[in-house]
Amino acid sequence: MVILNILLYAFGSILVGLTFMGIGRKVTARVHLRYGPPFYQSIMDVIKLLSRKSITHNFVMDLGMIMSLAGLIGTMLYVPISGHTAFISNTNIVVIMYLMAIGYLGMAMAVAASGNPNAAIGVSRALTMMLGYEVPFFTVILGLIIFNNSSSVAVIAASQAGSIWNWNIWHMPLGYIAAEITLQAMMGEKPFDAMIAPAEIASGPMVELSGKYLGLGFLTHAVSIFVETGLIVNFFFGGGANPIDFVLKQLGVYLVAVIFDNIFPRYKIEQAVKFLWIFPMGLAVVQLLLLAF
Amino acid sequence: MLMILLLPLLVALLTTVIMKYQKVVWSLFFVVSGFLSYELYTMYGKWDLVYNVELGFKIFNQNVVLGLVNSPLGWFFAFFASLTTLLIAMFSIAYNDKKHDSKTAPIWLILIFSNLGIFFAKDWLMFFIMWEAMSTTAYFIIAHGKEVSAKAAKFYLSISLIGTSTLLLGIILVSNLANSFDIARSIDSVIKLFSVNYGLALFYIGLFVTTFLIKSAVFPFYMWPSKAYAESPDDFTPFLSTVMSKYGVYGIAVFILPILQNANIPALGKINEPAYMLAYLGAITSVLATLLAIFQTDMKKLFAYSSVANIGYIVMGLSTMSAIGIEGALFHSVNHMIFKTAIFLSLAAVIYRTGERDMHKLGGLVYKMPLTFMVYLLAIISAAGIPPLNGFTSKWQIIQALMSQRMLFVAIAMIFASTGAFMYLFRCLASVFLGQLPDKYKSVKEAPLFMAIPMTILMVIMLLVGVIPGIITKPIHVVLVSMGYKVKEATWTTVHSALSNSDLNLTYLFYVFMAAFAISLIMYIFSAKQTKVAQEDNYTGGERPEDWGTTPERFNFSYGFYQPFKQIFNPMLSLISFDRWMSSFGRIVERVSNALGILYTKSEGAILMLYIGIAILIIGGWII
Repeated sequence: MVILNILLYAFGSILVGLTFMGIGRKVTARVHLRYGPPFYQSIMDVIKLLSRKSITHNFVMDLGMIMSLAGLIGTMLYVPISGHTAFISNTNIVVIMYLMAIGYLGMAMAVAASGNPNAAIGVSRALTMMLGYEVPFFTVILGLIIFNNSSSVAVIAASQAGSIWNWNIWHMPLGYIAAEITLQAMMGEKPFDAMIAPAEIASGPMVELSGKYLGLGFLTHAVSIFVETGLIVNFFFGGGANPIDFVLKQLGVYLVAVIFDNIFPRYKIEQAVKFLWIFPMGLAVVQLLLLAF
Repeated sequence: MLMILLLPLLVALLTTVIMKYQKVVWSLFFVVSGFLSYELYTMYGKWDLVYNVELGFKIFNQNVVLGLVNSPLGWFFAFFASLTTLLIAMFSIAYNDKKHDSKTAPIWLILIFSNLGIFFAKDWLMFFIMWEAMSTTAYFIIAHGKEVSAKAAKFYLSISLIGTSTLLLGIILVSNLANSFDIARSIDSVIKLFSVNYGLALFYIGLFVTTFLIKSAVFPFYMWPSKAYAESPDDFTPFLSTVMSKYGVYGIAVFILPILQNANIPALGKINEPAYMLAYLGAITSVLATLLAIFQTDMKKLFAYSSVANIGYIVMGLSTMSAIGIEGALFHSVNHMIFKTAIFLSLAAVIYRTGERDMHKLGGLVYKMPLTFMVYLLAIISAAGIPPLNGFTSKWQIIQALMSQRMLFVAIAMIFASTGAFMYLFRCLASVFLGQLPDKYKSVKEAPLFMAIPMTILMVIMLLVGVIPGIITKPIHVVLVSMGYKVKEATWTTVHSALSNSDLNLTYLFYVFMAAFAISLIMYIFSAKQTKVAQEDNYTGGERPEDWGTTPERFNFSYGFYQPFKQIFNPMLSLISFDRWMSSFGRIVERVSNALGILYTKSEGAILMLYIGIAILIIGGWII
């Protein structure tokens, strides 16, 4: 039963994440005044990629790709969806943040093992960016944890039940703005996409991935979208009454990020980190002080 | 009790006699470590073991007694330290061949003797003697007969001497106050002093804290490890980094915490002022050390700073003064011993095979040393605090404790350092083990058997402790109870949290990760087959690497890995360099001592001294 549940949650989140990506492409196209591909295009892409020939450089690359997807699926299993998780646990936010790091470490290891300097530059930028967004994001979460005296995501989500006015977005608007900006960086959307930067470093971490490796990379990205938007929904939008409600809220959060992605140019990496440490961090600290005292 | 102290001394004597047969010496060293670990294991639970030596004279109207006691806290540190030593000792047998021999085994045994003495000391005299013995012997091992190393060791010794002097001053003052050299009694008297004279009491414990902070390299004394760790023998570095950095932690836990806990001190929020200061020192240490580690190119220096950052976490955990915080700190002490030993041993294996310490000159060693790579990989996963390995649990507990005590900025600093750790740990992984393999290392072999065994054991321990934390938390709970904290019974699989509704089952976490791994593996297996291509066969945008002045073999990126990031911190780091301040201070001391030295060495100086001496004699006689 538990195994079935885990499979259901894992594949469900992958499907949802991929659909989001497809819808995101459609929205991007509409912003550009194009027609755009169908909303299921990303799913088709992944199926195609997984069935194509691919090249690998060594076993570390294989291990790293598997590890990165595993880390994110593991994280996903800990994120409560409208109060449900794949198995009974209290879903600790610190655990989620650290489990997510397995995904990043796996990806970084895989692409660094490919030996392409563009990939290594991409990874070095991605890790720098990580230090940039993790600190303000955690500061926002710290406020939530102190407010609820629990580091369980489910408890924080449940505390907002009842009416729409109980949502944390009204209790801590500054924190929400900070979290929204760091979410943009977390998902690698513009203006914080220096680690991908197709023009300078040939898509950075993705440069050596082909066929099924690129497919696994897509899946990882899909799950990461699910986890990240899911966290925001749990923290600020009350978590959702049922799974459908939850996913719709996630879609809303994701589309905001996509629209911002379309209207911004790219920061240089040091500018991005400085920006993240000044504006979202400032907002988050002010919010934290307001909550704590 | 007395035997475990005497044995290393006796064997040290024996090994000096048979210095010629180095293999025998190191094997003997291994056997002694094994025996000590076993003896300590049998001492668990016998908390009434006390041993006193009456010395026949008096100081401060008190009979001078050198005492040893088996306390849970001391046992905890001593036992895990000796287990770590055992693993390092096995590694040393293989490491100290003709080419790499450091000939340090006898001194190291004396160091182990003083190590046990510190953890079992009952009174300040014993503690001080052992502390001094430890500082001095460590100096000789770090120097190990090399000029560069001697310079680093001198730096270590001079900073360490400052610590010893403050310790001596503190001991004199405190035992004068308590009329006894006993540690437990001096704690009581300092607690009493706090309600009488707050400033003076703060000064007293300040003296001790300075010593402990120096030994553990906490800010503002963070700079000596990068020199001493880097230059000491490669198989000694893990001992220096994991065991010796814990003396300060032990000192704070055994002496400072009980005082802060029970004394009448004005509180800031939930904890009191000195503890807050300590927490901030820990926070600054870990942030600064993390930043400095990120910019290192020498791998041993990098992990020296990483050790400093980890001590920062431990100090933060201790300063919360809550049961969970201290549990986390003690747990992290052991975890740091485990994963840092694994890291330093795998790096020592790399240095053993390649003879290179600069990361950017290495690369691609994963193809030649897969086992070493796996050890290093698991160790950095653990060091970065990622589940399901052991480093995660203790970091998680410390963060929880910081949050529940509302130490907001300290918690943020901890997250900063913890995420930053990811950057430097990965840098070493990418530069040393991944990327292109330089031609000259094409014939490098896997580490020899006696190196592989301890590394494999460490790998198993890391996973085991990560999945079943009860192995370590059960003895910690005994320690906590002996320190007077009320704690829930420790279970094998669950760790308790300081916040409500947030306990964590780590075995479950491991299962979840395994399930996710299985799903991921299924996706991988059921997709189309891959073909393997050569390492140099990279995408280059249609250009040839030769056009850019490089070859496919060196088509790599590892020097200046975080260059853009460095630009953010360059102005700040150049502004607050205690390192430079200390160096200029050192130069002044050197000049003054040179000037004084001339008085003795040059003949004019000697004559001058003679005249001054005669003048003093005459004037003195005249006054009397």
